[in-house]
Amino acid sequence: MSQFFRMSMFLLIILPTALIAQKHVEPSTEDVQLAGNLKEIFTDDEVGLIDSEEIISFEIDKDKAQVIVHQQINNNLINLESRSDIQIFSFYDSESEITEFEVFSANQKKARYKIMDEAYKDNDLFHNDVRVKWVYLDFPVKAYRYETRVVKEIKDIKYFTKLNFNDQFPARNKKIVVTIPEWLDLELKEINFQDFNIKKESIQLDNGSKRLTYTLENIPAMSDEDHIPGPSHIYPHLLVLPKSYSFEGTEVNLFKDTQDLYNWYKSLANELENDNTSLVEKVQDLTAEADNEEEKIKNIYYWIQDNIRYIAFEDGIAGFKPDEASHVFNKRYGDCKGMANLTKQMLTEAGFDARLTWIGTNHIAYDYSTPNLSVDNHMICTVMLDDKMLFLDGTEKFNSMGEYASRIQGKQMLIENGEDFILKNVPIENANFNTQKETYHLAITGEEISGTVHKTFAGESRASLLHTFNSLKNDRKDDFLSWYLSNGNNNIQVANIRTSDLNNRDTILNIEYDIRIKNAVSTFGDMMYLDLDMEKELSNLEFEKRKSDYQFYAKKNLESTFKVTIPEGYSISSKPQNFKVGTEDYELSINYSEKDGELLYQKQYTIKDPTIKSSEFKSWNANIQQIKNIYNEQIILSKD
Amino acid sequence: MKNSLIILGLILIGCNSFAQSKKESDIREIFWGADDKFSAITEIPEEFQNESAVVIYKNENYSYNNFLTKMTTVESVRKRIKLLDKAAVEEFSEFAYKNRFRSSQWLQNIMAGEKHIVGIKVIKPDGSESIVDVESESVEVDGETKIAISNLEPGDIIDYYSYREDLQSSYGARVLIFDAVEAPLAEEYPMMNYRLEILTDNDFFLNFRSFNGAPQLTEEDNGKRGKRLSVLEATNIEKKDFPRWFYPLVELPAYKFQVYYAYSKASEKDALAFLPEKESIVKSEVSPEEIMELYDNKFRPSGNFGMVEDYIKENNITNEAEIVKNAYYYMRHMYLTRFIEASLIQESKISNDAFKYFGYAIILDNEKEFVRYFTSFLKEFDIDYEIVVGKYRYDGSLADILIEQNTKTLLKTKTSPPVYIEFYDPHSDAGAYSHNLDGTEVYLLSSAKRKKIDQIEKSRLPETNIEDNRSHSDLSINIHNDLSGFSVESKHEFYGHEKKSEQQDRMFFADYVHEDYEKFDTEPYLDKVKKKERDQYETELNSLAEKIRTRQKEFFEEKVAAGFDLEEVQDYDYKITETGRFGFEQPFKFTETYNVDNSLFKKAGNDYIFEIGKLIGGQIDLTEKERKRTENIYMPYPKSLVNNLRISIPEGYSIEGLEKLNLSADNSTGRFMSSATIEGDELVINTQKDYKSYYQPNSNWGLIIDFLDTANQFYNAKVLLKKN
Repeated sequence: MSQFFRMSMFLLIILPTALIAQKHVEPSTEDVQLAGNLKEIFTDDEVGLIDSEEIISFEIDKDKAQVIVHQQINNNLINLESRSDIQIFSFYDSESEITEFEVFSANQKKARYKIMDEAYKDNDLFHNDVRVKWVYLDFPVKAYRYETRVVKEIKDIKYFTKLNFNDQFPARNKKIVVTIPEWLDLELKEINFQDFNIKKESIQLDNGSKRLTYTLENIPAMSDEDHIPGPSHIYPHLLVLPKSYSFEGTEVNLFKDTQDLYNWYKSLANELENDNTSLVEKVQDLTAEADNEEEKIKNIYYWIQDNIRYIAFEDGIAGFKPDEASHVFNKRYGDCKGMANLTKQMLTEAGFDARLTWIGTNHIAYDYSTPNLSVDNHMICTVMLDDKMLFLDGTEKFNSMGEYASRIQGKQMLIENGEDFILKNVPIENANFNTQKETYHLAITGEEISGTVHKTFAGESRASLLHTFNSLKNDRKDDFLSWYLSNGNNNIQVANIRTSDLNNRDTILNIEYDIRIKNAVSTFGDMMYLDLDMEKELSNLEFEKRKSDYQFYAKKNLESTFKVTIPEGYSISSKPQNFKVGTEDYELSINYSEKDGELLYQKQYTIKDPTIKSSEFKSWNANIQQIKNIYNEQIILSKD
Repeated sequence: MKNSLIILGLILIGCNSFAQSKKESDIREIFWGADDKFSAITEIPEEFQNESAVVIYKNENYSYNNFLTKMTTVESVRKRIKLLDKAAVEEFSEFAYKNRFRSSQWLQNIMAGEKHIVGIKVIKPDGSESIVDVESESVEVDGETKIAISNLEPGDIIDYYSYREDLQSSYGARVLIFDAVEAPLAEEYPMMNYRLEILTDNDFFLNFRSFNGAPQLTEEDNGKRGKRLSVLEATNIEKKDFPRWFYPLVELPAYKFQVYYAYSKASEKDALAFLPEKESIVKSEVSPEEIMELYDNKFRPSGNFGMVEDYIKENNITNEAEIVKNAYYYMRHMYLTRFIEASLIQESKISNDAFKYFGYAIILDNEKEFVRYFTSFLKEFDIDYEIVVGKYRYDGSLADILIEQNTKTLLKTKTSPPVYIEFYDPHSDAGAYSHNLDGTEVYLLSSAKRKKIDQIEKSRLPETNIEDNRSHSDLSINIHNDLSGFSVESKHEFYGHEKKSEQQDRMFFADYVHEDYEKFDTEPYLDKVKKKERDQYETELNSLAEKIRTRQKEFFEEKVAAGFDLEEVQDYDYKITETGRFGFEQPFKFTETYNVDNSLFKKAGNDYIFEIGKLIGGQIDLTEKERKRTENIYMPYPKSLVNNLRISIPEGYSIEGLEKLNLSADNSTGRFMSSATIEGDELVINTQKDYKSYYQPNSNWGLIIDFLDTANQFYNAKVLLKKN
């Protein structure tokens, strides 16, 4: 082996290559100015769209007698920072195809960028048919530009549900152009337009088509903030409502009304074989000992909650059609549709009138007055019991029958009713339903506070804690409770924990324990300073920089009482001011008082509407600031 | 839905279905056949009933076979696990593996590639078994197969195997060194039975050793001529988690092995491995003589050092120790840092051909080649040296050397004083080496006549101490008179091992490449670039630097805020004042300025409680579980962390409670000391936290807790800002 070859085993040798260095065109002064101007508006964004144009047209697929949608998106991107490295992507699935994905740079007619094509992975879905085409783009300097063109074909108009103005990047100008042929009856329903200056132009073309053009300027990117409501609640968009089309002299209904949507859903459900042989025995086991009808339903519902794992396959029609109940039963897993169908079939076997029920969770802003496949995203089961309806969501964990998760409360349901359907809303609970109550009995010893605590949890607060606890490994459960009750704060020591049955989802959850809190009392001379509140709820929810609405997981009601024995020879010399505020959406109060030698600190936070709107941030922030001021203020006990 | 999948190895090939089917049934027979004595075990001992899951049996198999020019290696694992709760069911409810992949060699060898065969069955408490039909129950996307396990419930046993066979051409291969396998026996669940099997043809070499009380390897008759079956069996292995300051391979029962193949006796000498004397011997120890013999071959001085020589001569450096140090830094520049801008230009697509301006660019990429290169230079300058061969502390002692890749090599020059030289990175120091080698026993290899390595002796590398590895932070804190917050100006200095991570975190190319150009009077990269490209390169490189700087600043700002346990600080800025790149004792220094709101002041009537302890940054706050630690304690290195704070006392206020800031805990393992005094209108606080050692036995854990708790008590300390 030659000396050179042996050396090359260890050396990374980089030799000149024949490759031609990429020549980047320097941005023009105008572009630099433009990038600067856009950055002033879109301060958090790396890249902006100078112009974004979405062109929609329709065509009939004569072979399949379906309406095809052609969607072309032209974006003109500009870099707003010194350098950016981004990905541009477009999704497709078994019902759509990306026919063109082109990138043009400022100095090349077509940039040599490799378009990647891979399966889209979603943490919530075990398997889905969505794929993504994407390209990596580097912007070497500020104001560097690219243009992209993506052409997509949606094979069936019913899967084309909305047109958005907001995108991955902010846009100076956004234009949506939809040409509706004479043979197509399609409504574009304007959603959330009220706060935006969207211009609309409608012209009649010579061929009978109608061209609708919507334009909007300076539209921000979609938010990546956490705890935001679903996009249909906050962004302006056009909901696409394809009603019917004419083909070879015949009018073909799409989703002209809710009945059409129901008919399509129902047709999928009707394809099920519903061979329940395998689950009959389990139904008998679950119902044999039940004292009454309600208990039978409950036994079946809880068995499904506890024994069927949520695993979702969204592949083509499986995204809409429930799996056979027997499959879900035998596999012990399924998605919401599979669980809803299993619930229905098990209840049916037990002699109940149970119905499949389509529903959009609170992530979705619509109801069934706008029939379209984006109206719902979930399925539950309705059971008719005497003259009332019970709604059973098998995907919930530790949900008590008759209680409804926040995500579906108030939402309209489309309930199976033979050829017809029933529209009904899930009952709404108030914040008290989720009450978390805590009572501390404390005494001061030196610079430590110790005593006992009693906490109770109801509604969502109970379901959430029970689910978390029961999802943990057996050998971690004790540690978890200590960690949870001490709020992860090592200054708080928790001992002697007593709980009610941590598998019981029907009663108030009770937890009692002993507590020792270090570093909560500071003594200087004859004065003691108490920093009593170790949890300081809401203090991290001051939205100074936040732009989007904030959504709590659920309505909240926290009732907290601290009773602290005032040490002998001491009296309260200073305590924070009491505070109380009430709006339609929330009530917050903090109260300090003294009674029978005890300092009483009470706090009640009731979040009646889980969404704090960005338009309300000013007053919300002022209230949170007051609460923070109180948290920051010490209670002073002075020696008599 | 949970996100975790059980990932079963890597890749497999789609073969013809008949062959695959036969293979699948053969593999199934191996794991679940009539000889499977574990198939009858369904119960677990009483003491494990409160666990999440219990491994009834774990069987790991490695096999190596060469037939003519076909090299077949197999790695497989079978696990039979009793699932006792929903968390365990959730963990084992989904499996994923890659498949249908053809090796890049398929054109040369149609058989080359990998097979991956997976078998899964579920055993219900009543003993009924159902075998998962992997073919029909799985979904495959882009070569990844996923299976959701049906009907899996707490109380069930899941029994699965993953068999991965790799077939490659061995045509022309003289030496093959297979990946080393090194692992503790314990895992996150208790294990009732464990069996490791290594099946090799008789012409393969095997190095194997059990550590820390793990059972020894035994040889079993496998009924096959020409094959050796080596087995390690263990029972009742406790579950283990891995706490802070813990070296699993030093403490826990573990094993390490590596398999080698050599085409001929002659090619054995080419192997960079400690091969057994002959294939039939399982090697478990490596003698000093074997180390010397191997490295005699591998460390022959070699390399073109002409420009280094010129640099030394041009700068009239005559002291031998100084020659070594200067040569080291010069090489670091010439073979590394002068290419960094070009490398970034290429990586960030500013140019496809940024290296063309160097003509012939050599970048040394491993420590052995560095040793060859540097010793070549030393030889030219008649500077004697020793080659240091050791192991990182977390990998066991010198006597445990078994696998060549685990050794670390550096140089010790026989200069006055001696200089240790380790393969460089952009900020490494001549005279220093990884803290993982501090104080470890090493071999020193040398040559009596500056030719063949013919001497070896044991030695111990010097340790460092708290004086060597220290950080100083001087904070000048100006509290606003209206108590609306405070502003901070700080200076930070890091010495010895303490500076390494700070340098890596805080410096990027623009902070140090020009320092090297100036120091060594070399032509900056951009000056080499032709005029017509230079403007573009420069503009775009500056843009890249600006972007990195902006992101770094945001990161450091968040880091400062987190140190105070705050969400944010305002008006943050920083500046590197000394890079500390030319000597272990040279500090890395930077300054910071920022403003903090009033979050650390708690209103108390007309006065304020000041959470002053937080100004030294977060301290280790031990959990109850950590306090009950049973393992010995392995720390990275001794170090001293000093904070000096000068805090302006706002007008009209005085400070009470200074005694809470005067804390002291000092013992053989470490100390925390703090003092607070008033100097004029300033409060002066000095704290020092020392970790005094690399290692402490568990019996001293209480002493460590003592000073950690004292430091944490300071962090929680408050004083009263009293309105006069």
